[in-house]
Amino acid sequence: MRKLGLARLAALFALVLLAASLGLEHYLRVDRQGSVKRTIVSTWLGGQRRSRVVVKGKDPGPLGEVRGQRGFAAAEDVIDEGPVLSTNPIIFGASFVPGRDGVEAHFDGRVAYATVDDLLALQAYNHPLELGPIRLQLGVDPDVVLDALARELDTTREELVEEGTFRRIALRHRHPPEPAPAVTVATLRAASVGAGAYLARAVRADGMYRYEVNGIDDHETDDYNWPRHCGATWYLAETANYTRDPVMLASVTRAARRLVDGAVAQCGEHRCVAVGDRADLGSSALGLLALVEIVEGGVLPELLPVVRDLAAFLRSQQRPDGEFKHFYDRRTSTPIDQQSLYYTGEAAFALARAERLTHDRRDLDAAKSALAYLVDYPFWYLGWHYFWGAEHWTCHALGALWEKAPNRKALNFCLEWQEAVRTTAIWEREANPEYDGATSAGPFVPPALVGTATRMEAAVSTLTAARLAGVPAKEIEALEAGIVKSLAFLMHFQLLPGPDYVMRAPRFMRGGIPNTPTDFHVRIDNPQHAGTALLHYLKVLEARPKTAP
Amino acid sequence: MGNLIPATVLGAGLVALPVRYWPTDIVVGGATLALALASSLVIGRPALARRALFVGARVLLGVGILLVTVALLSLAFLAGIHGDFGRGGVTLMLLVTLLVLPYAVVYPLVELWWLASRAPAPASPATVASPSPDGESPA
Repeated sequence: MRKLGLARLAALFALVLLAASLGLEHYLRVDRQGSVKRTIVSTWLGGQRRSRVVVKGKDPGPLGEVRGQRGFAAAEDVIDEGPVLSTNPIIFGASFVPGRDGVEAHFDGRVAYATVDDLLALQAYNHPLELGPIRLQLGVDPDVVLDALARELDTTREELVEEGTFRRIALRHRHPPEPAPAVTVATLRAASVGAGAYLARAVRADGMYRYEVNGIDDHETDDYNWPRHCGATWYLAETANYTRDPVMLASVTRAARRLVDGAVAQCGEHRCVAVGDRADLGSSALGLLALVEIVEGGVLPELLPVVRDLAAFLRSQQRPDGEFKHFYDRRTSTPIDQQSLYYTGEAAFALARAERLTHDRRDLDAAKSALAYLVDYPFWYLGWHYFWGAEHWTCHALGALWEKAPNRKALNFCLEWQEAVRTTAIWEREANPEYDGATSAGPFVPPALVGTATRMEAAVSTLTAARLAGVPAKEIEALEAGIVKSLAFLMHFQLLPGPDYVMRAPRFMRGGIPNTPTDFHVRIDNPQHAGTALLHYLKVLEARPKTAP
Repeated sequence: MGNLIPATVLGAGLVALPVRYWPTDIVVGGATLALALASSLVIGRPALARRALFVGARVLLGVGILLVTVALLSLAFLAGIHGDFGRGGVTLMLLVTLLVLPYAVVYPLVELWWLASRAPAPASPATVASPSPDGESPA
């Protein structure tokens, strides 16, 4: 009897909980395939909204690109709406899908909207809620949204929260339409050259980059990072070599000169890239990559001795087992045998590339040995420092070395990693089908573009090696299908131009790769990584024999 | 002895939480104490072992049900807002469920079931008039 009572109680509880959950889910759900209920037409000028009309029904009236003094008319269709349960900051903040949902506020007989464009311009999708050391990424920043709506309704935030009512509105862009780029030679060329052109514009007269720029307000951070200066210069050099565009060539010359004159220093008997007493291997490796590309392109051939010196420095940091000492104390002229994530892969790749220019067998041997070390993971592989994750340089080294020093183990390592990348990518997220193929940052937050970009760089290098190695066609097709889907995601959100009317300096931002689909900060390594993936895949397609029509 | 495992897990989890939030502290802290006390009584006062195990299991079940309720309603809320959140989201949620359910719900349910099925043999009428079905002494 007692056991029966327990079972009944458990079953009843489960049923009630299930019913409550299903009811809540159904109550909040919106239909994103629905028909247009009304259209919100806004005029933007200089990154600011100047006017707004709401058109009921399906016909939004005459629209079009009206640039100049009247600004740009953007139209967002309301396709469904749903309730907002509370103005409690956590519940309110989590009640909207970033980049898809807006807010409708009713107060004192008036209505105001915070549309997707408004929320992008307010940067309201990007603010995490901080609880001590915990950062919760919500859909919107409730403070920013409520303040903006209160201003719109000419009241205070407190009054609005007290007396106002709120609805979630599911929006779809009517004008400009949402991009849906196909991955073709033409679109890849536009996207990769666009990323290079962004970097070319970002190089100042003194050769330093505008390191990280907020696309919305054109503000830039005070940070600077030399490994990223080197990495960006590597990609800029590659695009400049590809296009032979005079502006890009001039920019990469400035960036390279700045690197050599301002950051190449003495590390014992060799030269290295360092701006303080402690040199790191990554700066020298990426600096070497950049200079190899520049010298190969015939831009600054006089830098060949620096290339040789940097390669010698990298080799001098290598241990007998293939691993590198990642740091160097310039005061005591002593290598420091500590490791961080990327530097061994960067050094392996840079030495493999350098050998093509220096023709020094020692560079090739050092790269081979480093690659072998990187993929020689132990039985307890999950704890391996260089196991699958963000470290993508290993697969670049694999691709660069394949013709002269093929490494089957490294190829399998990269193929298996790419399978894991595809398996764990975002697929079929109902609110955001355009995220398909992106590397996930969590089920409810927009993915970071750079995470996808680095994995796709590695994927294209793996594809190159896999083709040369005669990997079965089925596996190559799966790898390439993943690449195409992920590159489509990157191109979808590249600022080419993106919603440029919400930006203060859209001409500068053109071609930039933002942090996420809703966070328009562009750091110089974003276009570097995405551009590398795009350009390398473009070169793969261009190298294929053209089939007869 | 089995209760020491969930007590340790809950206690360590509570200490490790980077943010102090009093409702969590009270509920999880209370459950940890109840479980630890139940284990102590089983070892130190065998006569009270049965009752202590009942209390410990019920407290753990209560906390488990609370956790599952909050988790499921949060999931329903997020599913309502985001729609289907794809393979990655489902995998994550499945992982969370599999981590919580066995220890906080299935274990105390099985314990209660087991205790109910092992009612003590009836004592002599002179000492106990009518034992309750679950073996607890009448109030």
